[in-house]
Amino acid sequence: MSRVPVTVEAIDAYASGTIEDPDAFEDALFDAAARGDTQAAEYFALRDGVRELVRRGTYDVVVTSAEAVAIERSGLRTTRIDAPLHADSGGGEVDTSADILLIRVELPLDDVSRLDVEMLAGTTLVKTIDDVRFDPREGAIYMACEGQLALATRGTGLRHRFVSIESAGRRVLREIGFDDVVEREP
Amino acid sequence: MGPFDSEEVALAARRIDEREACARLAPAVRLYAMRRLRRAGDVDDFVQEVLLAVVEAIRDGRIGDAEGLGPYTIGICRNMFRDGARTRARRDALLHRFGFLFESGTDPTTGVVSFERVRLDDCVSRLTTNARDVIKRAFVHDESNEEIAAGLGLAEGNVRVIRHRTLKFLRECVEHPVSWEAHR
Repeated sequence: MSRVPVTVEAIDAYASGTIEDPDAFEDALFDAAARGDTQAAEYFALRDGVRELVRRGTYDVVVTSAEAVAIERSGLRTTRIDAPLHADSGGGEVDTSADILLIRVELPLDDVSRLDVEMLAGTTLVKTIDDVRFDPREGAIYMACEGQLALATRGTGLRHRFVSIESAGRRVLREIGFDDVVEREP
Repeated sequence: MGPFDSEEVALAARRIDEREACARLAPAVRLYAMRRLRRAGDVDDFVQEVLLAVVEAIRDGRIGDAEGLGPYTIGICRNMFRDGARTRARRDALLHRFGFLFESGTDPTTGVVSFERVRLDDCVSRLTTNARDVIKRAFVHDESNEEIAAGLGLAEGNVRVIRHRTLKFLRECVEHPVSWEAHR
């Protein structure tokens, strides 16, 4: 039995041609697979999962307006929330069975060079999406996520904070909740 | 019990083992092929040919136990790659005998493991922009580390490190509930 570790990371190094001793790794890989080890299958599950998210348009949390239109025309069921510039909350009627949720958020993007999006449960920071893509001429960004993931935020007091990262520090451009969103069951 | 029943039972048991063997080995064979063949169709053909040869070897008793399965299969891979593809007639003959293992919906080469899309979406959204771009270029556009480094303005060694760390993070992250669960 080989002692070469077979992990998802080592498999990726093998696949990308950067592993040190590929022959020894192959012996270990096949030995592990024959014994029922699932690391290679997990590698493909991750790879295929990433490909699927890219195909559906939800891999990048923030998408361009053109990509948002492409998602809406893709055949997947989409639902949409709009957050006009001076509203405290995103609004709209969302279909809870939709495949994809799109959120259009208007922002004062003039003079912004780097934009981070912070997601909060009430006042608790859950995650930060750093350095998102945007076109300042559009005055808005589009966020896309899987419908089931959006449903997972129910009851958490979800808020989005949009932060310009500048040499002088952070500048909060806007923070919105989703109190005015109406859910529509299928 | 009829005269053929015990044989049928034994055959059924052996078929399950064959499927299990194919399911276990298919991802490893696919990796082996992907390192050497560019076209997806060629990779698929190679995987199928190797698995057909494995099934034939199990049937013929050339692989006695699970211990020998891994070394035998990597041997088949190396021989098959060195000697070139088998003739179409040879492959068709094996498909005729063992094609039932590759019938639609029961293809042993796919679907052994899958992750919930919603969990992966949540995990991916927690990556840095660089990490997300590296993984997308590697997995979706099949770019080499050198190409990724050039495209993102990074050192090749940096790409390798980002790739390694990101996969480790994703692999662990998808095993956990989505990040919002603790806040409901």
